[in-house]
Amino acid sequence: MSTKPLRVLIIDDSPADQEIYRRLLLENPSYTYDFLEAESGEMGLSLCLSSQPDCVLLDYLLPDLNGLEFLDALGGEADPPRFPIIMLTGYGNEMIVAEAMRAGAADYLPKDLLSAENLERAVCNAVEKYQLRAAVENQRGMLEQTNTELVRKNEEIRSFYHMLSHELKTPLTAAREFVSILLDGLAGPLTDTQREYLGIAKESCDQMTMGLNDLLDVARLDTGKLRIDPRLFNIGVVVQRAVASLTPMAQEASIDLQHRLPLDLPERSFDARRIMQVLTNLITNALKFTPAGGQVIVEATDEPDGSILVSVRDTGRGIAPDQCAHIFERLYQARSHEEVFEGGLGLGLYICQEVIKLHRGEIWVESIPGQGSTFFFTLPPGIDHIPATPEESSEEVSA
Amino acid sequence: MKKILIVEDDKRIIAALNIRLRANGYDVCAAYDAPLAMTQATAHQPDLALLDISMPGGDGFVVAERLRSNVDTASIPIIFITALKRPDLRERAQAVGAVALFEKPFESDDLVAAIGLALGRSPAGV
Repeated sequence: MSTKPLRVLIIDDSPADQEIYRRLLLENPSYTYDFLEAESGEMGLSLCLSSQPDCVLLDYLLPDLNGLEFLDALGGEADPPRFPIIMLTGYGNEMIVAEAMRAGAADYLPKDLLSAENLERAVCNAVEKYQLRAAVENQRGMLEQTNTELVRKNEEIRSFYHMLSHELKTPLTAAREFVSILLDGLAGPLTDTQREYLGIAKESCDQMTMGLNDLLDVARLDTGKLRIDPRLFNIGVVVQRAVASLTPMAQEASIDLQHRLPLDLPERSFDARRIMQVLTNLITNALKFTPAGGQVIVEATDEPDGSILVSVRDTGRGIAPDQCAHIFERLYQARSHEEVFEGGLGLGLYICQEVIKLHRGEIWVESIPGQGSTFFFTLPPGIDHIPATPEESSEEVSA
Repeated sequence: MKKILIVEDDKRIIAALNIRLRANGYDVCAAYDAPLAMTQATAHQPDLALLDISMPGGDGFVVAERLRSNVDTASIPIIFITALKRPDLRERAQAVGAVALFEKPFESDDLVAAIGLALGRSPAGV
């Protein structure tokens, strides 16, 4: 309790009663008091507003107002006062105490049972409780403010990512297109070496594009703005498309890429573009870590619980058990020192995981080092009503 | 020879598209912003418009609306090319009747194919 004197406002039409309360409180020397007195409800109300007491002792029966009317005039249930009001009730008023407490009174004491001890205890308890409550309120306000600030900062970072991505993609587009023009012979014939080098330049442009898109997705995930748009679709079609689009990459690396799909896969509700992104990511990883002559198989099956189970199995080098738990973490990259840089920002599997989570599904990996890895994910049935956060126009960037 | 209007605020991308489209047998005119786009459209009567979305002085949708409200260009095919990545852009592009939307960096073979399709050429090109 503070060493500052407690400002106690006594509202009672009897000067004799006022004197009793003062004397009872002063009996305990461990506190100092600063008393204010009012003899009517109206006067009490105006002192409440002008002098911000630490505690109010309120006689229930005043000539102009009763205790309930007084509480009501101060703001009632909707806006209770910031200081405790202890109701002092005369004989026969006990019935109204419940109502008074509901209306915002901190405590009540029957006048005929007053003692130095119980009055002081009531005042001190009430004041402490209100001070704690005020401190909590204060903290809550500060947290709210911090939160608002963080949300704003996040939004700022996200729109910065968008601006950055836009500003980087424009020159990247020009670079890639001029490389394509050269590759297509539109600026004259090329030697094989020139063609090979330009091919590398074009691939690098594509890698940078993927990196930029991953950054955008992570910025959206961080602000809860990555949206999925689930519609009824056949997962088999998505698997076929993903496999078809990566077949050239597989052929280049001499890897046998196949899909195995049952004929009767039912339609399920999911975001086909996002699931295509997940599959592309998983298959690309599988191809990256599988040696020439290896195999990558993509399967989808209809599970007994109504969900779809999709797997991408490779015959690559596998993943050490201690790494399996971490590979879906943001920025995690399985890389040992003797290895060459495989490319990527380490965001791909994190994005896959988050996209699957948005579908209420699960994603995991099973692996035997030296023999290969299988990535699994599930798409549960009935996710038609996932609320989507609308994209905001703040993402719009002007060049 | 079919004429294509490119509206794009990056001169290097215009230069690249110019080379690519001329190599595919198209005539090309270009504008760096929305106001200039309308001047070019009126002067050259293009058969198709290739519009960037994010540009100073009015975005690609503004240009599309203006092309649509001009008698001479009201029915020409529109293709958007954008460095923005937002799911709602496709819907907005469809709403103004665009035939395609490409994200930057675009695959030029796909772009040329889409232009050919919109102008009624056989998919094999020229």
